[in-house]
Amino acid sequence: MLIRVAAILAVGMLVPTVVLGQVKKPQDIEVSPHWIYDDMPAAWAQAKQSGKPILALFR
Amino acid sequence: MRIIKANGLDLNVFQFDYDQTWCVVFLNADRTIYGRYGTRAGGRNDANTHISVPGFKKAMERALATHRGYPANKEQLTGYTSLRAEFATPEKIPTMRKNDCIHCHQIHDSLLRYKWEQNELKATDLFVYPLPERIGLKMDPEDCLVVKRVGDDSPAAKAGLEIGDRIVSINGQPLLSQADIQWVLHHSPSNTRLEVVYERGGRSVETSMALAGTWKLADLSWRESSWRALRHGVRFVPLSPDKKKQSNIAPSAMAFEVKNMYGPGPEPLRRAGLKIGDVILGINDRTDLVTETLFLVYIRLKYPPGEMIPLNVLRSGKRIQLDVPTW
Repeated sequence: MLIRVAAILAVGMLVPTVVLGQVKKPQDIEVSPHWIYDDMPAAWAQAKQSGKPILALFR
Repeated sequence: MRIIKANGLDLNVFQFDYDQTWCVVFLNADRTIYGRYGTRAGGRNDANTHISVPGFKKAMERALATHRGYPANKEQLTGYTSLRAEFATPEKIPTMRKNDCIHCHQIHDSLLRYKWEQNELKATDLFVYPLPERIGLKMDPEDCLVVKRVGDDSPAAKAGLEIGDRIVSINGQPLLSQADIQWVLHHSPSNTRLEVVYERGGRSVETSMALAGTWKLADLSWRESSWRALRHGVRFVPLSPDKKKQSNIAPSAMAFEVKNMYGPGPEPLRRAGLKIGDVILGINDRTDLVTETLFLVYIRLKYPPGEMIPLNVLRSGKRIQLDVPTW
């Protein structure tokens, strides 16, 4: 699941998110609900609770 | 998670090439770093040449495999533990400008500016995260750890590496991607031996790679941090061959035109009389600094704050000596 979600996100990020002449904000892209934005405490907590690793993307 | 602004970022955990436009760190909830993904090789035309979706997918698969083997493999990952940061967060760097959205490159340029102001700047602070190409390895971006090309007579060639080899570890450091090769190179001294484990034809092979000399030196001009750390408001442009000819400057000679001066940073230079359009032909007896990187790095390493820089300048066809303060 992590790979599939992250792969979708990766494709979304490597392709310009420009629609009808407007540049979308990161939070507006279709897969944004899958991400935690700028909230490390939430990321640590969720990773600890779920036992999953963290993928921290800097962009 | 996505980190869009670096405000409050824990620099004791997140250490990577801050000049990148896109970078991923894989880690455990206990802050153990599994590895990194993301490499930038240069300016706009070279920004994405070393990354790809298939390569990123491979790095993620390796990260998940590392996670499945954790904590049994914890000892192997100690090399990724970030070094104790000089400043715990970007905001604590004294030269960091107050900003609601701190960019990653501002971490690097603020640190460089701080070190220069303290007269502590070293070449190792500037030449960071060398590309594997610097030791003769061109990695396949579709996999990140498979060798695509080996430079003739390079350290990699002398160590016996060949096209198709898959690099498994360097100095005991397991690798997820090329970014991890850069991590090892970044933390290696210029004169050293790297112990490399690779796979060829299904077999694991070990070799030793000797490194010496200037392999860490690289073009810094594409780095966003170079604007503040090196140029600090002055845009120097190498003179074109035609303009050199018109000015009776030898084709291979050093010549940088002061193209523009932005903001308050270059004010000391303006007051000292440096003008837009001036051509810098040398610094004292140094006329061999033929790239912008060599030129600016020489200035920053040789002249700490408060010193005067003796410039040889061409202005309106006349050669003059102009002493300017550091800026």
